[in-house]
Amino acid sequence: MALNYGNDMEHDESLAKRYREAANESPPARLDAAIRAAARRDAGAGPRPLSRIRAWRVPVSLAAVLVLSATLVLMMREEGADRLETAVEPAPPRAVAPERPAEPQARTAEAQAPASPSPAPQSRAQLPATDIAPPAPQAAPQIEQKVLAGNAVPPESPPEPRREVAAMSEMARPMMSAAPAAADAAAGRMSRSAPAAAAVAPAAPHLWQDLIDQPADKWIQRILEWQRAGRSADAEALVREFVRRFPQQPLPPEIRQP
Amino acid sequence: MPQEADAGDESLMLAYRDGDAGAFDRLYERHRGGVYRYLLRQCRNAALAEELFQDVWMNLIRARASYEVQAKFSTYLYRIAHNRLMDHFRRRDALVLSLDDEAAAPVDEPVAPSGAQPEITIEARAQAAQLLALLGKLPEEQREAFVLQQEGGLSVEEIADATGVSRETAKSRLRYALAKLREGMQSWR
Repeated sequence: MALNYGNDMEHDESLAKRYREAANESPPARLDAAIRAAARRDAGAGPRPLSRIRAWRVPVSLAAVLVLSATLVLMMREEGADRLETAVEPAPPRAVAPERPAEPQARTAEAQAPASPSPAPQSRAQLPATDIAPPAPQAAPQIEQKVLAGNAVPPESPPEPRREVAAMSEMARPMMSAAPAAADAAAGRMSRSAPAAAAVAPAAPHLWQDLIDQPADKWIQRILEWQRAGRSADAEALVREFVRRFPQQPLPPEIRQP
Repeated sequence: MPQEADAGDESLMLAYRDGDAGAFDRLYERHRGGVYRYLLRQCRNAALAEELFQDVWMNLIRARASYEVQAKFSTYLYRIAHNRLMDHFRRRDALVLSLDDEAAAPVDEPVAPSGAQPEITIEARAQAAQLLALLGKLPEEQREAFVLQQEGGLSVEEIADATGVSRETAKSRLRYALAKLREGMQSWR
């Protein structure tokens, strides 16, 4: 009998056929019986609890992950909102700086609701004139510089409250650095406090940077200049700030109120 | 030979895991001969092969609760058998070294085909005996690769998986085994 060897390097059908003919040993029957009996005994115990656990392992794990994630998110939101409210609420009557941590929130609120009308007069009516904050982020370092420079610029208002403002802004700085993150995290919860914050915050402080230490008539003069020059939006912003800063000062009739 | 009946092995094992003893019987019927011959070819001692055979199936029974389908069942089963063989060889080698006794492991002659198959001619029986003799002379790893292919129906990748070597190593072993067997069977052409 001639064998036909295949060319496959990893399989040879003729060798396989010859091997199948040659290899016909099998285990003794007593071994078969012993092994089958052992298998039946083991299976007789029924499905092991491990199988049930395995069947529920994945769904239970997924459910646990979902519940934990949802709880964590809710907790983070709650904590973020608490922090936010803590940063906004404790404004002592005479303190100016504590308003500043709320400023990033106010900015966010402005960004979220740009069309909301500014309730500045209402806010102004609630705050005494001496308690109104100067334009915070830009003004505070300027004031500090002035104080450190030995009052190089002649002060038109008493320097003592300004020193107090500078000190308070120093104290408030760490809070300010923490507040934006909390504000961003809890932006959704901020909407209720946003109008008040927007009312306090200056719209465009750079517009009246050079007027901060100037008397009311300088402000009126600048407003009139801008109205004549057609810078209506800037003039309106300046009017708002003027009203906020000088609530007792009547506006001349030629100034268009926003 | 299990090649044609491998489909469903995994389902049977899962059914057995869940308590179906009948599923084990079917699995056992499919693979009992292959596993036994694999062990017999590798250890070349019938009594030892029986002992190892029983161990392999008992290990499978013990592992049923943790069984999960991660590979073909035959690969899984022959991996158990291979590991059991390796354990045996390691112990035997240690014993031989300690006793300095080369005859510690009796080696049977390759089992010649029985005369229970009347359709097989005398010439065919002689060829079969020649093949088994050649197989017995192969290095252990090459013989194992060939027998796993024939008895377990394993592919090169599955042989590599069962024996814990790379695919290239398994392929090389199988090729050497086939080349030597072909060469040895040239006289029957």
